[in-house]
Amino acid sequence: MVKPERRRFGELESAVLAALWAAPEALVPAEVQAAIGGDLAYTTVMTILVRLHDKGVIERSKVGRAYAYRPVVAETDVVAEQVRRLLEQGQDRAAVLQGLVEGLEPGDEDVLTVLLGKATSARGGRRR
Amino acid sequence: MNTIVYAPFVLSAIALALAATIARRVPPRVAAWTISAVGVVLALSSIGALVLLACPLPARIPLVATVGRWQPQSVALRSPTPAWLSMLALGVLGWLGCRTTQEVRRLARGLAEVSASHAGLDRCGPSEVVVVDDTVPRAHAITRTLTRRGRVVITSAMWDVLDREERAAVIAHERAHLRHGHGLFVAVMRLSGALNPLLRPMIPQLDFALERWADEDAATATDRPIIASALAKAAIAALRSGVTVAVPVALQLHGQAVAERVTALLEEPQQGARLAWAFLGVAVVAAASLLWAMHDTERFFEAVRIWQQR
Repeated sequence: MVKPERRRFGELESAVLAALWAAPEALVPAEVQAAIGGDLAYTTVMTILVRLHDKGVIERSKVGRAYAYRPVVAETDVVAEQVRRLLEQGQDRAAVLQGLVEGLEPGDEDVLTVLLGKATSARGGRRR
Repeated sequence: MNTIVYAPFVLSAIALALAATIARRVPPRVAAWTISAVGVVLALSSIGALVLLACPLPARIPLVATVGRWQPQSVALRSPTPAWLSMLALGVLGWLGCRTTQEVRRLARGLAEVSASHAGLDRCGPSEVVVVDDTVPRAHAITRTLTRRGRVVITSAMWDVLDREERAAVIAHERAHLRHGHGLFVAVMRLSGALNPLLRPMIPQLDFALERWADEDAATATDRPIIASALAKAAIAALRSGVTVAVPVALQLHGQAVAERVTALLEEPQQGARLAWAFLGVAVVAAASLLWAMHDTERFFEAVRIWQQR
């Protein structure tokens, strides 16, 4: 049985790693905290970063008084290429991959733009 | 066994007509479950019906007739199914067998490719969510295999068009696909579509229901308008990138699918599953009529035996 806290921790690790992957350069913990948002405490972010570093998934370098973290880049280009090939495969991938947006047609952009406007204002409305 | 044996085919056509409504009016989780359940039952009962239609022909083979203790001629004389129809049913069964084998192979090939990608992604670390550097905006859930858990892959181009909350919503959407085993739903529906080609147009309806399910799941983690704006932005970015993912024509929803999902998220969530019960009724009737037809066939062979003994 997986404990809920443990699972949550795994998800947080994923979020932190995703933020590091997405950043063009190494991030200091405060930047990581800002990037993943939510109500995560600084110490939690620190704990996750230290854990990931202990696992050897991310590397750190001293920036001023803090450490900046970035993922250990191992053959990323190869991986990106492999993933791209998988994603571009047409026929056989339907059952093994679920894409976010599919079946788009060029004419859809206008409708989507209108809907995006509505969605954005709905978000604004709730925040107020 | 007269007309009742054809019921599974007629009911397949009826189910097909209803599937689009189910996918849109019923809460998506219920819709996905009922569409796949109805698909499986209809696929199996139509195969059963074909077997019943075909069986008088092999029953005339001397060896089979000896085992069954009937005369080949009396089956030929008294069978309610004309020989040409049994022949046709046999042919169709053979064709469906080939199609299903192909589909199984296709699924296996897909899984093999996924395993290879997982092996590559392992090198990016243990993270469930991986951002890969790519100019095409994409977000995908890569299904789990026996040995590896599922992964969410987001390209850097997709990451850049979304704001912080939207990124969380997209990750939650893809994670919902993985957590609820949506790949399995698709695989089962595709196999059903191979067994009964009448059901093939139900595949995109199921896809739609699964996407809506993941949308609603993501909405509970964040908020409905957030996932709505994330979808709209992602779709617009995908359109502008000009690289549309090649989706097989048979599996394609009509173009407005994403717009429909966004609209659904901006409206109140669907309530009530009464329609789904009616839809399940179609499957129940199909299964019942197959049982009836089986009973009729059994009685026919009983009758042939008695008739001979006189």
